[in-house]
Amino acid sequence: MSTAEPLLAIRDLRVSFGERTQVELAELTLGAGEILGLAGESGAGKSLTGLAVLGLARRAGATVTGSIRLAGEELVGAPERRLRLLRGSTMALIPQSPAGAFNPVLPVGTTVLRALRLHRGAGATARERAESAMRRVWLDPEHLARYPHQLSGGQLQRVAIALGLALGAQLLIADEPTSALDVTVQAEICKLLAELRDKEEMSVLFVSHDLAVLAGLCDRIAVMRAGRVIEARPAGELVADPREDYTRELLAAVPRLGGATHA
Amino acid sequence: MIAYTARRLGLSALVALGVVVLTFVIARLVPGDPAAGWAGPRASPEERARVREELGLDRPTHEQIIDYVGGVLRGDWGISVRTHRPVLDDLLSLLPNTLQLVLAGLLIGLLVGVPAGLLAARWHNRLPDVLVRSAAIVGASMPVFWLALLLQTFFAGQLRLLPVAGSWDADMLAQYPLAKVTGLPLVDALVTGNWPMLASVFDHLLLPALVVSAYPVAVIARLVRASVLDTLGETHIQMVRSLGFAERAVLGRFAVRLSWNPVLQLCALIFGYSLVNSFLVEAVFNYPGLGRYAANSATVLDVPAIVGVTLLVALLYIAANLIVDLVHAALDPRIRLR
Amino acid sequence: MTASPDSPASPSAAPARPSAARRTLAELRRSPAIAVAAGLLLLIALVALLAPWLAPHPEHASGATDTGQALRPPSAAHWFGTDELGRDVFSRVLYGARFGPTIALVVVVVSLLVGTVVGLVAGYFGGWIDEILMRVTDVFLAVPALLLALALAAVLPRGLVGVTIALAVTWWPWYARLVRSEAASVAGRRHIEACRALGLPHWRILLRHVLPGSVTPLLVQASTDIGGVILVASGLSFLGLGAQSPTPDWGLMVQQSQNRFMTEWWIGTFPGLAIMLVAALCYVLGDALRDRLDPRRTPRL
Ligand SMILES: Nc1ncnc2c1ncn2[C@@H]1O[C@H](COP(=O)(O)OP(=O)(O)OP(=O)(O)O)[C@@H](O)[C@H]1O
Ligand SMILES: [Mg+2]
Repeated sequence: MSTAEPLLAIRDLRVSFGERTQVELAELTLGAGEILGLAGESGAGKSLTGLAVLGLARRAGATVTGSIRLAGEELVGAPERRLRLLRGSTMALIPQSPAGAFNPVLPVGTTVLRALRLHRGAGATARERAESAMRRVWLDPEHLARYPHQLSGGQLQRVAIALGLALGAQLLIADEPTSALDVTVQAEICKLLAELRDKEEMSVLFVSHDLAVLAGLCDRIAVMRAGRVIEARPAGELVADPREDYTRELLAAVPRLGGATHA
Repeated sequence: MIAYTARRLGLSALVALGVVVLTFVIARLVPGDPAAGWAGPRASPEERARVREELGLDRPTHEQIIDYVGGVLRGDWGISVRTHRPVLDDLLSLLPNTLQLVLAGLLIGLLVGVPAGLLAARWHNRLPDVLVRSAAIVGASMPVFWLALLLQTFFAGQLRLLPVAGSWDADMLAQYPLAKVTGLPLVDALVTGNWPMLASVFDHLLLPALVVSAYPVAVIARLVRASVLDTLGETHIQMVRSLGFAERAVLGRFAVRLSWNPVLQLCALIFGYSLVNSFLVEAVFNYPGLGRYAANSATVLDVPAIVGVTLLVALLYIAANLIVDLVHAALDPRIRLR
Repeated sequence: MTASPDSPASPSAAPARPSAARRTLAELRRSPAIAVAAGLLLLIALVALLAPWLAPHPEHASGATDTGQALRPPSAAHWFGTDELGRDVFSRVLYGARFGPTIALVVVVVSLLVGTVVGLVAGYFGGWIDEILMRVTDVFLAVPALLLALALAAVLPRGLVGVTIALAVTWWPWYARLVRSEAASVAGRRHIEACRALGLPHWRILLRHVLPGSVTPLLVQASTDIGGVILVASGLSFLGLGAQSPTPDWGLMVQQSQNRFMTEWWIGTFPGLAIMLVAALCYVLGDALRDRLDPRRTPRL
């Protein structure tokens, strides 16, 4: 049964602040081992969608209705206690600015270990898990002892990914994880995510402005505008032959995509 | 870190020197001829001249300052006009009592203020927040001496729960003499296992310490609340929430960690403030400390004593600032590595 | 006038200048906390002014006694009771509004002026001037306020003037620090350098471009500080270093009631409440002003 159902299935999701509806998604799915790109202009509701999936939109003051199913389990209306359990253990956030993602006065490892103990209980294995996760993101486990300001943006972003891995998350919600990084580091993070998808069946909801990045990495891309998905198709198809004018505009706004992707 | 420590030490020494000079100036502000005051009202002009020479008042000001600074450094802080004893001896014998009072107040401030601030931040703009904020305003705006009188009247006078004044039971002390280890009576009684004295010292300390703690509690609660609220919007808090931590853990284990440094920095300020606040409290509870000494000296214009108290407290305050900065640097990796 | 060279259309210099007064008024209307606190403080100022007409026994504020009425508890005739000399405590508390609060106001205004000048000069010119001035303020700030004021008040002639001087000497460094940091952050900006290059006199640049940035934090700090100064001043009075008998100063009244506090509670309770009320109102006002005008800053209190 769970094989038939995608890892994440969003249906008729509506997120609103007071009277204003900011997100209205008829349908959006993400399979296991798939990277789904979420594109769209600023204010389109991409981050809010991510927050809703994490169950954090309500805390920000939003009303959430509709259905979000994670591995067959309904998240909308689920008790906070259950959501807390799922957060971290099945899904994890990779934030936009790596610089602010970790508590500045704690070594990054402290956050990792505390989260591991929260979800996996006490035990000596926590440290081992953390270290092996660090290796999986091509980082020296020594880096766990460092403070955020002692790590580069790319390294921090990999620690964030490692955190999700260590916790055994199946779904990473990456909210513009590369926009604060320079191009080479960006490529590195994308390569890492692609490898995790291929080797470990990791699913990623990858939010970005940058269609070039999405085109290179994602299996499918959903284009959002004013809270709705206007086009959601396999990445290559969408880039080569956009159906909506708006998608075309977005594509035109990316200079590097001129001829490169067609080649 | 070493360079930072050295720089910070140098700066403190410079400020301390400045304070010594400042106290010199204050001592010279006394209206009239200091020699006349020293020699007494019935002294003859020749006697006064002799005193002037003795006190070095006939020499140029800069020489006098150098002499004065030298004296302070050598531990010669002058003789109290009132007690006729060396000021420094007087001060050092009273310091432990005051220090104990202030540290107790500070401890209560941290133990009550931090949770109160967290509570207010957790329930931002809800009832607990409103209560904590109001209580903080009240706590900070109550004149300490008045609060001292109120509590003294209520707990000691009406309920007869606690002693009215003093620092311990004199009969008790005769029976169970207090060994001197750290100088702080409460700690000494504790480490030597002198239980009757411990109880007596504790009873006598409780009310004054509560009064002294009003300000620290208020200020710390406000600061913790403000700084936690500031951090709540930040990405790393969002991140921790997305890891499934409950709100209590988010505040208590992650957000509050960022308040440590501001609170720590505030501690020096509060220490200085409470130190002098305790002066007023000591006056009410007739608690033998620096404050009662200062108040008594001030009323009879015992200039060496007043200047001595000022100097000692300023030096303590400078030291507290120094310690706080060094601990801060040790705790906050961003400073240490700068 | 609008085209004068020292008012370039620079957004960073603009905020506090054009309509600071009007903006403040508009803020008042939007924030009930500010309106209530400021209103009550004004009311207290009014009470101080009108004390001779409001007080049932104005003569009790200036030495007259009525020993036949000594130590009466609060009643319809004497709302706050009477003290050991039969003086009406209510009348004396009303008159008390003329002392502590006034001292605080004068102290804060004087300190503001001195501190602002020192801070502006230090922050704007920088270099060794800054270094020297700031080390001097460091020295003053190294002695806790109440203690420095106590030492000064002890050696100065007793009375209200002595206390006021002592407190002003104690308080100015706070403002010097505050203004200096604001001034230093503005001094390096490009439009200030442009003004310098144009050869504008320093004092003009200071007044029109550097000072405005400090107005808001100064306003917030000053209103909080009036509360702080009232507390310290009352502490000095309590120690006998401020107002002298028979002045109906609140701190002094509490001190004189000290020995009777356990039995005749009313003599000292009401003056203490008055101190607390004024200080609390100042703190609330300072808080509300900061929330409104300067939300980033955390309080010093
Ligand atoms: N806490 C909030 N209260 C009110 N409105 C909000 C809140 N958070 C987001 N919104 C609104 O919801 C809409 C979607 O915001 P969202 O952050 O999802 O945009 P986005 O697509 O992620 O944009 P960007 O690319 O700039 O990050 C915006 O119009 C925003 O103003
Ligand atoms: Mg976003």
